[in-house]
Amino acid sequence: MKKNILALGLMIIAFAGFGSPAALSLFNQANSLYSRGRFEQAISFYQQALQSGIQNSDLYYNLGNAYYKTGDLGRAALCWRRAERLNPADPDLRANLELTGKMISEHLPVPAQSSLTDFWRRVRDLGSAQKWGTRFSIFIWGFWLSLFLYLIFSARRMKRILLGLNLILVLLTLAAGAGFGFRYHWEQEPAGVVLQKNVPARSGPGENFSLLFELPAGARVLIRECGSGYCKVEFPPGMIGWVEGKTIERI
Amino acid sequence: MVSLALVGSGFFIALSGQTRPNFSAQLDQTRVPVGARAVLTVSLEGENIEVGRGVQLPELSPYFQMEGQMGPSSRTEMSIINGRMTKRTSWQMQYVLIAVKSGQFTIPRMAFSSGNQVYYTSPISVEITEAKTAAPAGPAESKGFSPPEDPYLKLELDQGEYYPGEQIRVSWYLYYQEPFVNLSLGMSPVLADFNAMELETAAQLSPAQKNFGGRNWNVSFVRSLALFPLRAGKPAIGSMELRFQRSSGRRDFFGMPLVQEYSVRAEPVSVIVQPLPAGAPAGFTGAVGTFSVYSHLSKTETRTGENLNLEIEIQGDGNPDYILEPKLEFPPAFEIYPPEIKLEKEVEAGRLQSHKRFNYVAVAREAGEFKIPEVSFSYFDPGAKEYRLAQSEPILVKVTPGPGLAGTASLSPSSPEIKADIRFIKSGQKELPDQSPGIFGKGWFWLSHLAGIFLVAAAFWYRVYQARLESDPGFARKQRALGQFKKQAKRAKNFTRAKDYLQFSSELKKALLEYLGNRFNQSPWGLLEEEMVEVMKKEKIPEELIRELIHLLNDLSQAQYAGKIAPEPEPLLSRSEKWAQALEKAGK
Repeated sequence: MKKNILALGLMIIAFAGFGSPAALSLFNQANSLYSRGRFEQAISFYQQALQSGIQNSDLYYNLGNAYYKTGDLGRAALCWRRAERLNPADPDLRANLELTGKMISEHLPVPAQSSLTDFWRRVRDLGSAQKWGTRFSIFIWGFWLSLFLYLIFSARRMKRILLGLNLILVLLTLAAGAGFGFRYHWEQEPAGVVLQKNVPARSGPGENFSLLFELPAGARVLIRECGSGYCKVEFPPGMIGWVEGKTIERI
Repeated sequence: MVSLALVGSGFFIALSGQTRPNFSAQLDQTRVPVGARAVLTVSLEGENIEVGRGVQLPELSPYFQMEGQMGPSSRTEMSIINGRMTKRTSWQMQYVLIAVKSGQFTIPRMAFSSGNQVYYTSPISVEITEAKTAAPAGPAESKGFSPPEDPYLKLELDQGEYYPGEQIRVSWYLYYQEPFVNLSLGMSPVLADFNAMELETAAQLSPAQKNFGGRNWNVSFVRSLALFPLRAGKPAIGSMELRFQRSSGRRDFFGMPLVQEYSVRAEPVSVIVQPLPAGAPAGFTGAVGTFSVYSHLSKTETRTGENLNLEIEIQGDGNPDYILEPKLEFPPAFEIYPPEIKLEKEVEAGRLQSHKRFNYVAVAREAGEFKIPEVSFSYFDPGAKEYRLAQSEPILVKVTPGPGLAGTASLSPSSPEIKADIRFIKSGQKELPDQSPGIFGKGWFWLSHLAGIFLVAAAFWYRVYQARLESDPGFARKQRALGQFKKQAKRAKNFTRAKDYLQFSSELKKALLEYLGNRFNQSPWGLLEEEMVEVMKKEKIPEELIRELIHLLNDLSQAQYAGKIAPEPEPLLSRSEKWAQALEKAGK
């Protein structure tokens, strides 16, 4: 009985941690098609792999690449943004997103970020919320254990070492907790990506309202509210307008 | 000369009902090339008609010859309405005609008579065009080969043996005798061990007549692919399926001819792929076929700081995936930027030819005369069965000093010559882990970290306990009492093995008294029985435990004096242990 429970537990861990073999097979087939330049077929296989319920940054990254190769920059950027939530530190992903940013800036003026903003973005992108959470768990349990040993031991030398370790772990725990909060808050933002080219943003929810600006495909926007087929979106420099709901998709 | 002869079984109709019968003829195509076939369908449908002797086909020469016929097929349905029986008959006949002369032709109307009535079909206009240019070379009329069924789909290879990366031209040919319509691809072949590229697909069938086993067959090219085997062995080219329709010889309720769906499948074929011989030169990327290299510089005279465009083209009939960026040894006076790579494919003489172009942007930083050396590309020539080297010609370039400092006119990354592209996909994963946020977004997960407080509380308790042990000897004795008793009882038990009962009873009595002393922080020696009872009563120990202790001590004293145990040592030991444990519980 115990063995059965153990085997079941291991299976659950295996499936939870490593995804399904079918998804991996579809992923590899899609990669093969992509390498041969059959991007449309590759997209179909990547999407089938996603339908298995798996959330994987490489899968979203490759799907984004395939969309890009078919000329669909909007969906490419959407997939890369989804990959960014799972593994923001990936240098290839960052390069693709920077390329997208350059393309967007050709259509819409994006003010340069201050060095402080850029620093915080880099800190935030040191890991996904999951990675920050894991770091926090490791540090806080290390702190509790270290505190326990500090209270148990009476040798002065050992106490001094453990006190230093405690202080380090307190700082690391606070940093990881702050990193998680920062990252989690960013991931929970109601963000979306513009799917179509030159999407008109108007002063109100309807075509009767005046055109304020046009959003290029692939632009990341914050969705403030939606209704009557229109969404009020904010392009991060502070530009706010109403666009048709079907032209954007939540990340 | 084709006749007006009676063909088929013919029919003759007698009408007894009132409904006018439907008599029609139709040709399956309005433009027919010379040498191609067309199917003429003659249909009759009506109530209470009798199929008689025959129908005359009109004069079709000199434009058509009749090759054969299908049918006749007929169907009769009977029904009784208001006591009157009605018989509805459908009849159909198909004639296969071969176009023999080009020109505009009208198939005259056909007639059948019934009583005094004569019924006619409408005339049919058809354009007979010149024969088409020859279809891709068909398969040879191999000796002894005969298609086993009609139709038959056959896969043909251009050679017998290949090497990995070498181009294989695979063609599918359709052999048929009976005509069909609506040919379509049902299933593409599975090509797991190949890189495959489409060469040609027949827009429409252009059959050639060939004789197999004494029978004439129409042979049409259907499709061809260029395959590049990925490894040595016997990889299989999967089966391909075609779907088509043939007349069932019947008509539906509305008089339309009914067709039946069929499919034909080519058998899978294994290809022999030999491993490449040893001795591949350095820089060999796996290219197999015939290749050549060309290089072209946008200008041979330039100034420092100006852009030059160098195009390296590698072309050949092998797998284009193996044409990698060549190693370019530019003089150090040039600044080179990563190339823009373009791949073009075309079909030449039925084979795929790839042209891969590497366009480099170079900027001269120093004046002088320089030689851009030749570019080499190693490949394996399957015809000669040896490794070869294709080389471009070296190029001389003269650089004169440009305006300003050399090197200041640099090429910025945003220069139109430098193209940006996305990074390549991720591949080679052995697993695809699920990275969903999972428990990290849950409140209970974060609260669970407070469980560490219990760990700290445990440490505090331990510290307090230790401090009391050190500062309160009575407490320390009490805490150690039971443990010490157990050790002594064990020692007493060892004496029973040597049958030294005197020592056993002495040790056990000592253990009991010491336990009592430790437990109540008293000196174990010199306590009278009454004093012991008094202490225990003071500590509110139950009477039965006090009595049991007195009995135990008496029994052990008797054994000491007698030098033996009565009846056995084990019960005494067991009683003592039970008593100590009971006292421990009672003390709490």
